[in-house]
Amino acid sequence: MTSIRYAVLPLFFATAPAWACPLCHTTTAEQVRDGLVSTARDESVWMAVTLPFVAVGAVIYLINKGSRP
Amino acid sequence: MSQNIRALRTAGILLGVGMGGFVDGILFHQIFQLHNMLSNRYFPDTLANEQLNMVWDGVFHAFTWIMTAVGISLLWKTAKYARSPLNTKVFVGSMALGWGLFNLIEGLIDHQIIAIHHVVQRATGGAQVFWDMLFLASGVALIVFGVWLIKRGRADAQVL
Repeated sequence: MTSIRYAVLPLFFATAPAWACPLCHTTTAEQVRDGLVSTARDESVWMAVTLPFVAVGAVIYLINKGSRP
Repeated sequence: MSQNIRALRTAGILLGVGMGGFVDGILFHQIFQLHNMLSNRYFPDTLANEQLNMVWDGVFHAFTWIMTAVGISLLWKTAKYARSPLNTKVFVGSMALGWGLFNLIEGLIDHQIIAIHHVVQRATGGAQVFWDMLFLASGVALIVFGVWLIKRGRADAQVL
C-alpha cells in the first residue's frame, strides 16, 4: 500500500498527461495555456464577455420601472 | 380588463437575448467561423489562437445559456401563476426586443468601444466597418419590430 501511495500514484499523475493526452505537451497546448492565463487576467476580456448581458439586465430593469402601474 | 404584461415581457426579453446569442454563436461563430470573441487580438489563423477563441466563445455561450434558463424559469412562473396574459404578440415582440437590445449593446461595447472583435474580422477597412454597422442596424431593426409588436399585442388584449 505504501508503495502505491508514495511511488505509483505520484508517478502516474506525473506521467499521465504525457500518454493520456497527446496534445498536453505540444507547443500548441502550451500556447493555448499561456493565452488562457493571460486573457483570464485581462479585465477588458471579461468586460467584453459580461457587460452586454449586464447592460441588457439594466435595460430590463429600467423598462419595468418605467411601466410600473 | 387591464392586465400587466411585465412578467411575460421580461421572460420574452431574456429568452430573446439567449436565443439571439445562440443564433450568433451557432451560425456566426461556429458555422461561418466569424465574430469570434477575441479575434481582433488573437486572429484565428493558428491552431492555438483558434482554440483560445473557442474557449472564450464557450464562456459567451455559457452566459447565453444562463439567460435562456432564467427566461424559461420566468416564463414557467408566468404561465403557472397566471401573472400575465399569455399574449403571443407581446411574447414574440419581447423576444425580438431582447435579441435587438443584445445585438445593439454587444455591437457598441465589443466592436466599437473595447474593439475586442469585429463581425467579420478577416475583412479589411470599409468592409469591416460595413459588417459592424449592419450588425448594429439589425439590433435597431429588431428593437423597432419588437416594440411595435408588443404595442399591437397590448392593444389587442387591452393590457398595461
